[in-house]
Amino acid sequence: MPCKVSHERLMRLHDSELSYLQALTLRRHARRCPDCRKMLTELSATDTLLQRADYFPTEIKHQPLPLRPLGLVGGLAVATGAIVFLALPGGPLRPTSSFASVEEAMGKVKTIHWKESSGGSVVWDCWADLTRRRICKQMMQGNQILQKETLKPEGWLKVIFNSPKTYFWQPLWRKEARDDYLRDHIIFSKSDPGRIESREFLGEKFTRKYSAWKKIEDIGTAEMLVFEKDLEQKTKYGNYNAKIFFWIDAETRRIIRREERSLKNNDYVCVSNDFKYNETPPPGIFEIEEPKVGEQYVYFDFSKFQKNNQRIEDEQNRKRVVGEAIATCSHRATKAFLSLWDFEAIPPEKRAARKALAQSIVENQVPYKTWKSEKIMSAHPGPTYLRKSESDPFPPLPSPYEDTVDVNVQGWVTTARTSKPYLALSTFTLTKRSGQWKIQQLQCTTEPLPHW
Amino acid sequence: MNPVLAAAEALPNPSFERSWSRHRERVFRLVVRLTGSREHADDLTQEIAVQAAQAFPRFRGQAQAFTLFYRIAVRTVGRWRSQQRPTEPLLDCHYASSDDPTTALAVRTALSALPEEQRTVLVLAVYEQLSYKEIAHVLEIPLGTVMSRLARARQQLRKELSDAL
Repeated sequence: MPCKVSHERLMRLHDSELSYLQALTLRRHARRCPDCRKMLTELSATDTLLQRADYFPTEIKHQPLPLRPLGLVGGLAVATGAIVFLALPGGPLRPTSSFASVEEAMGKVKTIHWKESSGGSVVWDCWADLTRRRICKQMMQGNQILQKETLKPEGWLKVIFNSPKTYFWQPLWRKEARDDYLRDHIIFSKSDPGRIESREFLGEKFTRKYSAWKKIEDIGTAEMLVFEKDLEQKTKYGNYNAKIFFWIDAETRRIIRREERSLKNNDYVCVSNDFKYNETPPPGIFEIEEPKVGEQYVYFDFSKFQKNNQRIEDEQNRKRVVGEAIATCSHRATKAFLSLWDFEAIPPEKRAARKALAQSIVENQVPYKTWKSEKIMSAHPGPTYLRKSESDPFPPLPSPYEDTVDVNVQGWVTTARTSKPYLALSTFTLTKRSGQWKIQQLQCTTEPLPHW
Repeated sequence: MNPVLAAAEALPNPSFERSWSRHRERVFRLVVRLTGSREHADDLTQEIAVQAAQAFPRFRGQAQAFTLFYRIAVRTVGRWRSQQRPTEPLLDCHYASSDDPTTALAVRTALSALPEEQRTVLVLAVYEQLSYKEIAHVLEIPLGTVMSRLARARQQLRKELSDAL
């Protein structure tokens, strides 16, 4: 009776294209089947002949399992081995443990220099000093630095290079957060399959769930290994699901490339590549320059705002200040309008000019007559500070400001110059000092907004 | 300036040079095996490098870099072969590594007699030791086509080389 095993299946066995168990089963069959054994022998002979006639010396090829009889003890040993192979971590049914070698190799690295991009012309130039456990990321557009972030032992200090410079202080989510960042993005201090994190930021709770690392066999080669893991983040605003991929150099076991791809929005992909190891970082790269004397700057402390529970209670007070500003402006009550302002953060030499500008808003520029369909939206900026002397502390703690809020007022406006009402937007930056809200900044549209 | 360097210099991604230097030898070997001529392979590998340098910025790294290089190599050799005169010998016995030149010649004659698509699949599977999926990716053909071409190529070779086997 002719054998029912197809030639294609035998060829796949010969080319190591079958799974471990499939190959094991077919080899055991071939041991008893003369047709299959003959076919396998012919395939091997043809390949051997081809290898001998090659232009180059024969390369090392993965050798298939020998076809010798296993016997009862051997069979039991193989079966036990197969169960262990499949069931234990590292087997195809469980997360691979070979990622441990990546963790180990990355753990020996001292510095890493890499590039990170989410598309477009903006590229992050990133450095990590793993001995000092410091990270620096610089957002570059060409040679210009737009933003710089450094990871200090207690949290992230960020600066946006606009005018005035804006500093952000973001404390660590929790004690191990620094390690989390290093582990998730750069180094892997420990295997942590199925890790779930619960965090709180600005009063909002959210959870992050990471799957274990899985090795992607069909992309990886002898030279490069590819691993993936899933990230699932849940917030009350919605979920974020992503896949994180790592390309690993098979020889050095170091990262070559990292990708984070959003599963919901295919457009978002964050790529880290061009990894260089153990380079000497430029001097001072992990420091952020403090504001100079006489320089204005904005400082926003997330930890302080996170604890502030009085924001909602204060809403009526903020609305009252905005209402008074509009009313005094509309009635050209210059003195009352100026009394609503905080000029502390204005350099003394510019203070008179700023007062004159505020006065001109009332008297000339924006003589609002009416506001209709008023809509107030709040955002959370940082207060503006003035570095008066070298002895002024930076970060500016304790801050004289209890809170800062941006209030956007949108409404239909008529002015002395316009016969028809138009839609305008004003942004009041209000700061609270000694329990009293004052205006620090005011921006108004000079042109009508599009009607939406 | 060397066209390879010129193309590489124009690239925003310097990782091309690293990738190319790592796989250049493999690409060269593939071209020798597909053309049967080391002299032609030198020129063709240069041409492949230029094309790869131009294509590399669009390479998103979802597969291995060598699959991109192999794909370009197979296409370039195909184009080159279509421009050759049919009388040009495919064999180049100077570079035989076999101890038995007669067998080597017989094998290469049998190999060169195969249809090009079958020979390419066979070279990628046997010499380059690519998996079926990788071959399918390089040649942009379905997995089933890879298996059928490979089976036919081996069958044909067995028939041609029955004496040697």
